[in-house]
Amino acid sequence: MKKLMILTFAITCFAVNANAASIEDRAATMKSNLKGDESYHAHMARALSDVAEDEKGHREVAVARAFMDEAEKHMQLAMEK
Amino acid sequence: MKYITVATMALTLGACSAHLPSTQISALDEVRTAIQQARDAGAEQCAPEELASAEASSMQAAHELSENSAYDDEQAAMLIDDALAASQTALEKCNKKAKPKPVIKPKPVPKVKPVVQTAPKPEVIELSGVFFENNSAKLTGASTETLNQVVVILKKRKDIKVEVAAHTDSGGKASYNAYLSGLRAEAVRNYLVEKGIAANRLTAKGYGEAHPIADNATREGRAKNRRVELIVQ
Repeated sequence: MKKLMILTFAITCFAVNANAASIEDRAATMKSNLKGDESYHAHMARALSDVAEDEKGHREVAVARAFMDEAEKHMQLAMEK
Repeated sequence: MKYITVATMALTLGACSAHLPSTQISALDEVRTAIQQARDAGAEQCAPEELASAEASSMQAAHELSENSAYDDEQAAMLIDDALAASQTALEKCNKKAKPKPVIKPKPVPKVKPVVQTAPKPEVIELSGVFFENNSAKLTGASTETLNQVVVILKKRKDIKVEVAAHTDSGGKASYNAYLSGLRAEAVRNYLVEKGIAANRLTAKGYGEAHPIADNATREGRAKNRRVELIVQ
């Protein structure tokens, strides 16, 4: 039982870290893609990814993901122009 | 025990009075209105960073309000303030930047003389508000607004071809002025092409200091002479 608890705890920790890294990586990639772009959609993408990182900092990973998804939509629009 | 119960109730009521979701929801509506006003003023173009910041803050505020806790409401209140300030800044920035549209000189009516016929003067679109960095062909940020209006005009008048003509004042060497004005004309042409105007509708020419329209001896005159025009072909 003890081993099972430790295993569950380890998996949970791993999952939390993986999610956090994912948000950070996505934000970093996005900022790099939009470097020098001063358009509205580029600013929107950056602002929303900041919100995502902020929410991730509050351990709201699902919310952070939703904001990052929205940020990436704006990144696409910025890059299409 | 009685004291503890009273104290607990007082604290609970205190917390509830600080928690005013309906007030904050109406504040959120106020933010949305402010953002819409900034957007209507063209903030996507003239203040994109401020508009984006306002929108992101308002979205985060809406999320915090949905969380239903006093801490999140506090966060939401701060975000609402940020969003209001950013949309106000965007609106002010756009109002400041609003410049008169480029003046389109009306086509002069050709004067018919009995013996000698003179060719009508070409239509000239003056681009007031197009500026470059000193000694450079790099357009300033503010110039793009004027050029965006030109793009709209050229997209409406699909049948015309234009020459982008750049002029300088008489300061410096004439050969350098001719070279610089050529680069500047080309920079304007490139911008217009980048914004979707067909390249074959546009030519670029630098006239240097050869065609002054004002006295180069005065500062005002020199400023008038440094100009970019579109000459309808």
